[in-house]
Amino acid sequence: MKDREIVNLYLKRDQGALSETSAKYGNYLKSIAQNILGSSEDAEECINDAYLNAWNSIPPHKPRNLATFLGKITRNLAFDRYRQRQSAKRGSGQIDEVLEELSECISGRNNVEDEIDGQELANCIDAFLGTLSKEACDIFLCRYWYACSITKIAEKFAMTETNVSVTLSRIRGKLKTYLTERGYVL
Amino acid sequence: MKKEDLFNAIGDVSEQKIETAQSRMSDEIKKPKLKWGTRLKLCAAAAALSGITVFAANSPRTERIADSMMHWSSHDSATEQEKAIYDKYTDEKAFILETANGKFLIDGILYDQSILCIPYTYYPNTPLGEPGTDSHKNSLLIDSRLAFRIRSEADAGMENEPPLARHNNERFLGQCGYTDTIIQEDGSLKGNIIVSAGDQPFTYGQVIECCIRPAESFKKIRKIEDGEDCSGLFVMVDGASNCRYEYEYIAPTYLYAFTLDKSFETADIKADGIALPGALAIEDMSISSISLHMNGHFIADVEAVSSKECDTVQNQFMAMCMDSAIIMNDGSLVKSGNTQCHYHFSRDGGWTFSITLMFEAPIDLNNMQYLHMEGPLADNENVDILIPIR
Repeated sequence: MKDREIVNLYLKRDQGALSETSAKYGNYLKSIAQNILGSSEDAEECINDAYLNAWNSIPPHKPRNLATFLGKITRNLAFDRYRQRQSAKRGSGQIDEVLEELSECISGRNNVEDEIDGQELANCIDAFLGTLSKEACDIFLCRYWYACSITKIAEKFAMTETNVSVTLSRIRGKLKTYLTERGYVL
Repeated sequence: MKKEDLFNAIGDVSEQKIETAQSRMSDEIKKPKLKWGTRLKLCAAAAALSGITVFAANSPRTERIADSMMHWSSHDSATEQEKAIYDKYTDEKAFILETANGKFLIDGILYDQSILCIPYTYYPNTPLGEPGTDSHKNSLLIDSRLAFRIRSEADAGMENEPPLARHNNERFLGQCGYTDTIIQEDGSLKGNIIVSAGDQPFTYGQVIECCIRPAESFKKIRKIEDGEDCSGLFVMVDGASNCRYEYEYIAPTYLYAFTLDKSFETADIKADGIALPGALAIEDMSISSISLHMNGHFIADVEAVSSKECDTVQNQFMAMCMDSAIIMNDGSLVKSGNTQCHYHFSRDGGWTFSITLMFEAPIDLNNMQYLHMEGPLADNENVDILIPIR
């Protein structure tokens, strides 16, 4: 079924929207959730929450790209779930590694002065990604948006794992410089 | 700033960038998406092993064909019953027509005696824009010189005929194309080429040739000097200057040929005595799951009726046909989605017409009950006719 047909089902409050979403995007959303959470069971619970969230969001939202819209919801829910269980110290998927890598781009300090506008930072990162080659941008987002493993990225981009790691390391270095120049990293 | 803040902020980068990266994640999304190399291999295999089904039954092929056939339907997508009809009558083919601007992937055709449908997926050579956007904004020009003709024995050996004779012998079939302008997720466009048979019905075993017509069939080469021997050359005289020029004949580029193997069932409708106001008479009618075809003539004395008067009535009749509908056994209506009309005048036969209505959705032949036609005709007299189909 086409995306606009699925969105129309949501708009008509037809519960078939959920089964169609699950049939088309279930695996895709599960891969995002599982990348972050590691556990298959947790990922299942997460995407069920994502379906409910989508049901409550459409309407009023009428997403232009359903995959991105659902992916974003799933990513946020999975990351929330990850943080909630951090206190229990349960094992995770890729997210620990991903966050560890991202910590290279920041100071690590956290005080009142460091409080930043999330959307402003997102715009800054967006502008930074615009300076990269298309492939580098895709590799960065596969790792830090989709939380894909290095192995999977290497497979998708036909690169060696070492090559992916080096590429990501260089991008993180550039990002740190970019953010420092703009006052985000002191 | 914490690393979690950075992770969250990355989650809010522009959708356009996420969508681009998403294409790398697309193997988790259930959609048919073959790379061109794969498609070409499939089609090459199909050409080499003609007769072997390349795509599995009830496969994405059926989905693609059903999608491409929906262009004048009032519905968004085909029902399961409609897909079953397409599946049953699709003449499975697998070939690619490559033109200057892109490639048409064709993996099935559908035809009855009046109409040949060539549903396609079109892959432009250069991206037309973002998926979901309207390609009209990019002033898309689908290759309009793609043309179709029936191969005939009369065409054989024409290579040695004079260029003008060869040109006149190229009887291309009437056609129109429909393309959904919304760009699909893989950058393609869906569409359907409707080829009409004209005065000779499509029949089993005919070979249809696909060609690219040249922009101009004759290219001016040079001016011929006075007194120059031009035997063996193709010469045309410029009317204004009276100068002679040598021309070169540009033959259509042959792309591919396929044989008509599997047709929709067709039934004749009893048309005796169906005389319409406006002195129109229907001579014969036939119907299939996708179209209704009728031939008829203008009864009035040719000498007594002006051409303009005849045109008016026939145009009114065509408009009425365009609004006609098939009434099914359960009382539901299926409207006509596309109408093609041909008029012909001859001293002996007077005015004759040939009209083909293509339905907006495929119909089960056994469930049709009436053809309903309604509208003003001949001095705005309102006509309301029910023609029994069975």
